[in-house]
Amino acid sequence: MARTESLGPFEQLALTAILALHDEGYGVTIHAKVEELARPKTVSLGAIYVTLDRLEEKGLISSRQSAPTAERGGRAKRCYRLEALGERALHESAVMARRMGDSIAEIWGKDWIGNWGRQWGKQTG
Amino acid sequence: MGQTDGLNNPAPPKFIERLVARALPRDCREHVLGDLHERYTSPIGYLADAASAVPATILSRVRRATPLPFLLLETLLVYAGFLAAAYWSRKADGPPNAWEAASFTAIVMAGLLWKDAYSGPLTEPGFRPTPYSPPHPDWPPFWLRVMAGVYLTVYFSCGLRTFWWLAWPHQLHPMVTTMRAGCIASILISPLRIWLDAIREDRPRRAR
Repeated sequence: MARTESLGPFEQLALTAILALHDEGYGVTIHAKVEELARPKTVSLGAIYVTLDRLEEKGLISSRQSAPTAERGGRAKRCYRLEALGERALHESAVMARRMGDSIAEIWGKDWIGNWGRQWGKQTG
Repeated sequence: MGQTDGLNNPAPPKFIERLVARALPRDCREHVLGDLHERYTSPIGYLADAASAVPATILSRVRRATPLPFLLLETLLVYAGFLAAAYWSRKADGPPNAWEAASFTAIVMAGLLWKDAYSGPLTEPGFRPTPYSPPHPDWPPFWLRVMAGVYLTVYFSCGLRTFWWLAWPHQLHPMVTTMRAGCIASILISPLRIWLDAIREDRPRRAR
């Protein structure tokens, strides 16, 4: 099997957002989804463009221009979709994250994610 | 402020939008402006979004047009070109000067990066990231492009010289060396960029 691209944390977030938006994601919606996933960290719009561009250059995603809409001042969207290479890279990242989570759970106990999530939720409001 | 689009949603002021459109590379102008319009709530918020999006798209565009190893190689070639020109015209302009070579390299590279950022979309058929891209892929053959490059570099160097003189009259680049360095740099860089474009063919490209 060919080696897949290794993804950085931000690239993983962007690919997850594209997957969650069912290949209809574009700059604004991908940014909103990534911010939701990366909470409590804030994400700049520029960082999203750079990451999408890099992922597209790696062949992990592709883009298409949609029809112009009035809400956008008569301008088109650039919609992104996950390519097979991207799906594979994201799958590998998810498996690795799962393995990492399991290893930590062995030491800190199975309910550490829930406790930590609740504690973090309190801290961030 | 107070403008709306056709659906009575708040719209960014035309003047600011036009400025941002000017600053954005052509390749991503349409969708980035659309995104900024959609996120618009206030002029300050719009400017904050634009301040994040514009530099990011320019850098992204430059990175995509010219990979870092090529950029470093180009910088080296321009620097070497200036030193060679300085050695060539040492009788007219004095011995080579490292500071002059570095500042000349910085200016030429800034010009090239500017050109990379604002040239046509990378997906356009016949896009050539040479310093002086042709208006149409079939128009000038390679040698003509190099000749045009040499001519424009001389012109460019003279223009730069004027601005440089206005800003730093006591640190003026030697004229003959600058012109010769511009020619040498152009001759060295143009084939490199044409080669880069050729090897780029196999790389994944942005959908149209």
